[in-house]
Amino acid sequence: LAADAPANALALATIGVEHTLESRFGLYQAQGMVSIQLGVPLTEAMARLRAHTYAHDRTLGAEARDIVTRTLSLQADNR
Amino acid sequence: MSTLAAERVAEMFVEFADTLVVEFDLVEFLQMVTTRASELVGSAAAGLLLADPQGQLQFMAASDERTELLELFQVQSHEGPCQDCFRRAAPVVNADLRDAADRWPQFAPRAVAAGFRSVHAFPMRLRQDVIGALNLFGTDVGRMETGDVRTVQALADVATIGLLQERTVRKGEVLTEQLQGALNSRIIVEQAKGAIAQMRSCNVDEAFTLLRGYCRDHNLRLSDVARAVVTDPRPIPGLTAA
Repeated sequence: LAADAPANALALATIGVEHTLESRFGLYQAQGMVSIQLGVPLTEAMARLRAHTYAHDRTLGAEARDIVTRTLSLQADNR
Repeated sequence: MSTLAAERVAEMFVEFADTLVVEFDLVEFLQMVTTRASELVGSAAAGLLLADPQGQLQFMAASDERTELLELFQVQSHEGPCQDCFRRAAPVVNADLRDAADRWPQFAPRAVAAGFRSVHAFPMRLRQDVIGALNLFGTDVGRMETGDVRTVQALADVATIGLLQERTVRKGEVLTEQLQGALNSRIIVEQAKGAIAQMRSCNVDEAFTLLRGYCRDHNLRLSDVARAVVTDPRPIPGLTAA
């Protein structure tokens, strides 16, 4: 199984990441990342993540996923 | 799967008892239970889900924490063997995933795509309540024997005892508070994974490996270190700083 890990991950990705997989964990991981990106406490990091999501008319799950996969960083917004 | 070696089972329960008498880390303890459960029946992966105060199942610990496996556990807050096991307060054993697309349209195809063929779920029982489920995945359709079913159920019960033990030590919390507290300690670990990934420029799975390695090397509890990572801005040499 371990040797197949990257292929498995890809297979899961192609099945589609729908609402059910808008995992709470992705959100918490993104919160931790944003906290470091902006140098702010966790509560503020979540507020900033929500604000960015709202401002760009997205869902929190999609936003969190982009943060965790490094497609998106809130660091630039801070400058 | 063969009937379990009695000696190995005895060793395992001694190990659990040893852990439960000293101050222990709940997330690590539950990871140990899932790892032993997985080894015992030769399954590829095992995980544990707990009911939150709203009665929704949430992922708590696993023998293997790769992101795609976490998703396979998390999807069961909606449907899947753990959900069925939790609702019926009874084990779900020997489910063949290739025949389960009707039963679990979201869960089964994902589990098959992840390389699994069979799945089992055992209730975490507390008196009249079910508070969560222990989930096992196999890569073949080998059937679990009756004796093995009983032993794995005992492991699920040990996980329940560990959970209550750790939380009772903290104060006379009611059950829902205990469960929420357990889930919160898991959330802090996820936040710390994100923070470490950002600081060390790695992915969250690698961040978790770093976190666990650091705890082992320094003989520290996972929850304590995770909490320090997300609340204390001072760098931790060897973990958040190179």
